[in-house]
Amino acid sequence: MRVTANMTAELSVYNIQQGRDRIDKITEKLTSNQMINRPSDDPVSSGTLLDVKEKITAYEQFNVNISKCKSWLDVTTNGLTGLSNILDAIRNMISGSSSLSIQDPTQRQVAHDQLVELKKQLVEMGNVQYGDQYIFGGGNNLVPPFNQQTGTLTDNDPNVTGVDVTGLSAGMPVTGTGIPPGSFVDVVTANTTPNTATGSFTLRDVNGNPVSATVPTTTPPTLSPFNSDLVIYTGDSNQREVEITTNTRQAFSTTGDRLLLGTGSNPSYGSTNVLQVMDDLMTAFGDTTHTGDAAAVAAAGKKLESAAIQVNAAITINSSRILRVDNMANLNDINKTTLTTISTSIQNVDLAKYGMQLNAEQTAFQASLAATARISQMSLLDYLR
Amino acid sequence: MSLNASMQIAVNGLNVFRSATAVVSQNIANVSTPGYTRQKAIIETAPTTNLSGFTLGSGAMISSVERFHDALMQQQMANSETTLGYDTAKSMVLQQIEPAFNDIGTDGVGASLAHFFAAWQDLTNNPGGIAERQSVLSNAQILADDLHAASKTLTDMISLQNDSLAPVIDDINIKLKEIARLNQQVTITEMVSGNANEVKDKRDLLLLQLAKQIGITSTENSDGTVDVKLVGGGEALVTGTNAGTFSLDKTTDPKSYKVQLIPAKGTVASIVNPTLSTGSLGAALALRDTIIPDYLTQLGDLATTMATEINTLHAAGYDLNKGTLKDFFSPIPRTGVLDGSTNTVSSVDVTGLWVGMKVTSGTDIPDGTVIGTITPNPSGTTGSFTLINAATGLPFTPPASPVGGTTALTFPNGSAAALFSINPSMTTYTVAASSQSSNAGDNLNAVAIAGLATKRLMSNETLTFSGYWNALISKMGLDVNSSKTNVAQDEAFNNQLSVLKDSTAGVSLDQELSDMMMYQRSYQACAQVISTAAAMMDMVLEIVR
Repeated sequence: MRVTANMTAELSVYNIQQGRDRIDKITEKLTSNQMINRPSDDPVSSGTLLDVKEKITAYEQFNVNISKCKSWLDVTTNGLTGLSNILDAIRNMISGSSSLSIQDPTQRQVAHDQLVELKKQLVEMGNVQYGDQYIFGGGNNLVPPFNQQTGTLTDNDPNVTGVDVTGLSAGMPVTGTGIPPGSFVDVVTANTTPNTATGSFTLRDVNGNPVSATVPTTTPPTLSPFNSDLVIYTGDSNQREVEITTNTRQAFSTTGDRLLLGTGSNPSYGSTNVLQVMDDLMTAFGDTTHTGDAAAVAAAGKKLESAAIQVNAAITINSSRILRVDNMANLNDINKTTLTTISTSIQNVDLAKYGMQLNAEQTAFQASLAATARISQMSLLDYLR
Repeated sequence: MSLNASMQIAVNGLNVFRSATAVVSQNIANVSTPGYTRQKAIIETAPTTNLSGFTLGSGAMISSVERFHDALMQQQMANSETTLGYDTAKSMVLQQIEPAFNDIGTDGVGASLAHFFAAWQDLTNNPGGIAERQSVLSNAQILADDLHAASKTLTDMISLQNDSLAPVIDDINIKLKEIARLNQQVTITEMVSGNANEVKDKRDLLLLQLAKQIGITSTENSDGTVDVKLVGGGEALVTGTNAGTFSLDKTTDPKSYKVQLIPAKGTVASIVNPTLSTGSLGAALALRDTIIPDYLTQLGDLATTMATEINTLHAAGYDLNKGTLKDFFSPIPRTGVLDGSTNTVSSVDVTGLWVGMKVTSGTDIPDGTVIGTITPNPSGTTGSFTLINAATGLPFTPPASPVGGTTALTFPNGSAAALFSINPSMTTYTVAASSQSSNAGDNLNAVAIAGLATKRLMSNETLTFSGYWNALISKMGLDVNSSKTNVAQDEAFNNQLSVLKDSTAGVSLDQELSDMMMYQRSYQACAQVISTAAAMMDMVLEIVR
């Protein structure tokens, strides 16, 4: 084949260009320390990389969710422990009292006052907050779940008057002395003066039929109308959920209705209405004017045992939730580490290998430059006189 | 038989070698001229004469100056240039788009998508929290901005390809005219039995440069002119000394020029768009009409599905004001209220719209209507825009009995990503996290929306949003990679052809110099013959004196 000087020059330039290109590619890998700098470098692996990156972000988010959830669960544990302590104090009080103290009006009044105080503490513990959310309110946690106030009841009358109805609505469970167990708020009549105890509501049962208040049986009999210490539960039974790993949700609230009212299921901690028990206990103990009923006190005491078991059940379930999210956090970390390893193994540049390759390419390139220079200098003209 | 004959023959020889040397020096001078094919003087014996009964030659003559031209090689090179032109243009453009979709190097839509859904997850932990709500809105805005940026890169590139048509068409027209002119020069030169080699070289070079821009076939006629035809449709670009003219129809659709051709020896312009699929012009058209709009459509699908799915869930939830039924993102398609008397569409979110954008809506707003002026959204509410007829520029005439009320507006295909925006009346209070009207602290709606991140809603329910985006990036990476490979292969092939062509047609200095030495010696020899003949003549004259 006939070869001209131009051909040689063209070929040399082309090959030098290729050599530079190869050196360039290796240099990019070494300086950026990444095998893949853009999707076109390796489309298939970059698909894997992006996928992995996305999953790693997801696991990080799940762990953020878990840590927030855990703080909530820890505060719940404190609240539940507090409740349990209060119940213990009540039981101590009951066991410490004897049939003699029930006969003494002064001692009855002392016991009554203690019970009032302990009930208040119970309700306060039920209204504990985490940030500005109420822990035991279920889904409706922006207002205190246990609304405690005094209302006026009339015997054989479903009306409850003299209450501040702000935040109350139909369907909310109500407990109090003289209120039949399992009653709910029915029709609410607004406060005549805002934010004062000038409103009222009627009572209904679980089927929607109106029920009436009954005056408690005491000696001497209580007159009607009478004042009752009411507690209305404004929360709901929604156990909030959070995603702790892919497509896995964890419920994390302990709701007030399951805890203190004994209603609700999945899980159910028990069926004791603790507040009702408190009310019964106060009535049973009597006070300065009313006599006590030792049998009723004993009966209420038994119910209190069930209440304590109920709160313990809540503590156990809460602890198991903590265990589960802790476990999940570990699993997420493990998965994240595995994925990070995959990602690094794709992107990691073997510096030694590419350093050597660069060296080799450099040498080859220098050789091609030298050869080009030498050959392009040769010409017949040098030899013609 | 006289000495004159010898002298005459020798003088003939001198002429021949002088001319041959001229050809050699022409070759040497043009060794680096692009497109030059070497020439060789063909020396033949001059016709014989009959002299005193002897048949004697009369020396040498240059019968022709041969040009080492291979027509087949020329056509092959033209084809190779066309392929290279197409692939190079396509590869360059794709590499310019790639950085906007490089989620490996920098954080792009993929990352902002992940952060957006993560913000919803944070909201599930504290549905009443204002900070978490603000985070949702901020991340939504970042997502919208990233989608707009990606969309803008693509639409800008489409405009660029469109605008680049004009200078390319002008350049092609100049080349066609020049080829026709060179054809004329060839005919004139050859008519006077001249040597048109240099003109032909120039013409061949022009043909190769033209081939880079559009695919052509060229045939040489017996009169030395070259006819050039378009590959595909076979339209005549140059016939003899007549050149065709390309032009652009800029009025039918200002954003998408149509290429027209008045063929050589023709008078009517006809659109040749569809058949122009080769060369750098073909690449520009393919990029503008198919390749980039494809990416834009996929981006738009992602934006539309996201907006629609999130809106559906969001509208079923309740916000902090215990309110309901708000769209989180402006609906795609947008809706607006048409007022026929003022040619205005109001109560429409104008984010992402531009003056001159095509808009239609069923029978109320027909094809050919574009946006005239835009009144922006005052903060927190919707804005409006006027409509004009694209062809006339006058306010468009509404139908006699418009349907009225809120109508769905249709914007051009592929604009969905640019139109993706947060509902202007969205605030931290109107983010609907709750699933219950009475309870603002519920988080189930937020949980459902956060769960969309792992739901397979794209591509016939096989891919999640992130999966779809990643697939788009991978596809683009594959396209860029394969285009780079194509260019490398084309360049190698082109280079090989070029080397082969040089092998036959290129000037070899060694050969020319040795030819030159040969002619020089031959010239010396002829001169020696003349001086010997002159000496012999002197001797004869001596005898006479």
